[in-house]
Amino acid sequence: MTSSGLVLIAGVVLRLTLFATSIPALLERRPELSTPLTSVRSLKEGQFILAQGSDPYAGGVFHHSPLYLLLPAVPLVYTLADAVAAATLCKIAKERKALVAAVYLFNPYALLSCLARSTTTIDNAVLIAAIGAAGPLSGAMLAVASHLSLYPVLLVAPFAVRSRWSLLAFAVSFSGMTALNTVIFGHSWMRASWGVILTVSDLTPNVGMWWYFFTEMFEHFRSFFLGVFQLHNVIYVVPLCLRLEPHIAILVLVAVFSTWKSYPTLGDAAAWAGLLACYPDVVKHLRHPLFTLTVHLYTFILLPLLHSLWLLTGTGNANFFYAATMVHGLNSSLAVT
Amino acid sequence: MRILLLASLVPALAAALSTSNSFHEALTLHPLPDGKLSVLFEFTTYFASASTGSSLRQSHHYLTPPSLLLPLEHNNISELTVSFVAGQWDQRRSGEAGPLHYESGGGGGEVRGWLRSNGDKAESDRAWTAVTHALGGLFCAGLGPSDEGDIVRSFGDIYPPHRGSPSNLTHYLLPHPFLHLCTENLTPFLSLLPSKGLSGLSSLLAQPGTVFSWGFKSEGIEVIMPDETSPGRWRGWWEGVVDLVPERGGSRAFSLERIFGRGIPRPFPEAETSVLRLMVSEGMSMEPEAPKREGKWIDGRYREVAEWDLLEPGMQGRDVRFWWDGERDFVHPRTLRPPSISVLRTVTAPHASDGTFTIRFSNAGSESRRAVYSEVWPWWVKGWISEISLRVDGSDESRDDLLDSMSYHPSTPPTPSTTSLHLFLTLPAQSTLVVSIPFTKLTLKYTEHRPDAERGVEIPSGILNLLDTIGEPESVSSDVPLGVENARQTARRRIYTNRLLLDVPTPDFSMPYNVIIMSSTVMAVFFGLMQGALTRKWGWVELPKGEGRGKQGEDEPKAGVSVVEGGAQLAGSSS
Repeated sequence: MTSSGLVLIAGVVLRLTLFATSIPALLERRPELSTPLTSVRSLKEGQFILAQGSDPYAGGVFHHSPLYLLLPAVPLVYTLADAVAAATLCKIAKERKALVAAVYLFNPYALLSCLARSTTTIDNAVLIAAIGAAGPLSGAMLAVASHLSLYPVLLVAPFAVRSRWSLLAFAVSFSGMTALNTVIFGHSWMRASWGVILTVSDLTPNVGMWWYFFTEMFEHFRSFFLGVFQLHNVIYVVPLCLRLEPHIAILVLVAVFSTWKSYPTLGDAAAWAGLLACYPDVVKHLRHPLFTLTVHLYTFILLPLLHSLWLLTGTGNANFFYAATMVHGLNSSLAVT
Repeated sequence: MRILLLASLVPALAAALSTSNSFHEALTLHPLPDGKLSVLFEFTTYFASASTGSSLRQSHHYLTPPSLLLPLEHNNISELTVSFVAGQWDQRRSGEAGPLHYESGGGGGEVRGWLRSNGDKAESDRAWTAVTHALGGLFCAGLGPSDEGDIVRSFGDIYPPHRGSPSNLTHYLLPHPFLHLCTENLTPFLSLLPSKGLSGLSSLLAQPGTVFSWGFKSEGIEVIMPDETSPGRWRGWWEGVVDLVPERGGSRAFSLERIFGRGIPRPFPEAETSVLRLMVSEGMSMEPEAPKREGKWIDGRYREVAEWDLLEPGMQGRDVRFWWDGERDFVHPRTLRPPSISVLRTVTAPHASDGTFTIRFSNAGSESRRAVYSEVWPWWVKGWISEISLRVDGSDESRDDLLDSMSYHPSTPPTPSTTSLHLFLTLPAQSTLVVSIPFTKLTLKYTEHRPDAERGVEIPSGILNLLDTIGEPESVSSDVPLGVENARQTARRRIYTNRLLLDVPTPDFSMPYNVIIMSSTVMAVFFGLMQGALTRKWGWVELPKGEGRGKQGEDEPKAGVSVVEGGAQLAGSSS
């Protein structure tokens, strides 16, 4: 316990130190780390518009969950979120707790998205806390996680298998939050936050495979393929719950939607990598651990390079970045299965 | 129904018609300090009502074109302005904040107007769309909205109505920054005029080869529909900037013949007035001498205006010559007096996906001014309102106190819509206020790009609306010396920036099939692997003792790892 405590402190100190440098400013706008739905720039914009007395969801520039409007976007919050996530992971893990905490806290994806103040960090912390909690509390936490990034709603089934009460808690707190937000903001927030996740109306490049697909899509097939892509996330829920124990089902589902969600970031991969570390027997049975790890490194270099070629210097074209996201996506898929 | 309505209007208007239909034309020459000349044609017609005229008085005395006024009347338009601009007005070189005609809009085309509304928004929108399409046909230009969302409704305060109160009127603005004033727009314009380009000043204008060789060009009409008490007015204008200095240098001396290739034209018989005006610049002489010279406040400066009445007998066919005394070779001045307020908008840090609008407001005057700066962006320009910063040129200190308030109407991506932003600013005296607005370009679907996507897309001009102007007084005491300036004594309330060409990040237009196929392949691979992993059953298989060893060799390639030596092994078998 003391060693994992040390790792926690080291991770927190490292983050706070790096926040004091100029690195976070460089990372804030990286599309690999934050999408329009998770970037701190959008968040600040929404909070600013709210402070001006306007509705941030009027028009279509703000896509964060209403819960984030209350969040102070300061480094300490993000550091604490990572610490909470790591501590929860320690609780989930049965052995080698310090290693588990280290894998999460010193995972470059987690570290960078924390420094970029991407709300992915918070999403991950809430999600991991939900997985780590027991009974009704886990259901309530899952409700928060689903509110923030919608896809955790897929975990309801394995959570319900784990504990009936969590299903009830989820239902109550989820509908409660939805009702409360609707009372405060009207209906506009739903279209602006969940609606964008579901319909992929903002096509800003990110590491996922959706944006270019729907940029290039023929207009009359758009809704069909939207259905296909969204259902693709959903179809795994039932078979995984039937075939695997709840905690493994949760692990695999997290991996599935961190790869296939409509607005993924590198930070999403950190959540499932952290969870994976908790189950050493699963790690043993990974198909190509070395290969996927090295390809991750490869895309990690390729993504920013090709992105800047296209969008910053204007020398490359969209296919450059698309190719990198393809490699990333394919590799994440290999890693999962 | 309509006939009944008309019949009831006839007695009232018949009286008005005889007195209120009149046509006035003017040509104004304004030498600019950089050796250029701004030439402005203005044709003003006062009229009582379009429909009465068209149904009852189909005579050549009738001065208003029914093709213009009927759609306006049918669609409840109260006021309407159409403006086309080509080229760029250089505020710094010309020393003026904008063209001589104040109603001239920003870059490209624009239609704006007030609609009498009965509270039914959908009905007003329909009427507005109908009228813009009708005018688009008239002017040989796509003036209608390409989508409902292109219409801007938040500019009513920037263009206040001449008549009526804004409470029962709805304002519409439709910017078309990509339109370009060209020859096709001139012929319809001339045909709207009662003189049709055949006589009067319009015959000078009816020379596309000449007028389209000029630099900056602006064409437009402004219609104010009649109401119960006052007659309507419609005014057409055409303005261009001619370079007076010959290509190889020389004197700026010019004459009507040199500019238009002919002298004073045959007068248009129906014209009530027809005048030639010159805004006299220092050291200027003219032949024949103007019968009338007077001082006037024009655009914040007290200037001398010479005026010739072209209807005077004996003027027809004559030339009017102008020259600067003793000037042999025009020397371009090293320093130019800037206009009291000028606005310059540029894009800095132009990444393909991001950028920053930098707008420089220069106030050369000695008092601080209050103004509203307004921008209209298409939906894919996403401004970061929280990151707007203000500073005064020459210092890095943030001056957020100069921004009094703002009003922001965000667009609704990805549907065609517009963002409008109004900043209420204080422009400090004798300094340059620099406002930067960072923005991101959202990704467009490949079907939403214009056919020439690599060229970029124009965005409309920004508008600075001065709040503290006091107009141009008509009567002036005679002891005001010429050249005196008072920046607020102007009727120019709006100063436009240039339009901007924004580079848009483009996808590869040849890729749809490849992208669909490759992405779907990745998805299929993933699905296949998952399905394989889930449908295969992992478990312990009991094998009879003795056979285990022998079979293992054959099984190894397709099935699992042997975990326990001897009897059992972990094997995968398809179920």
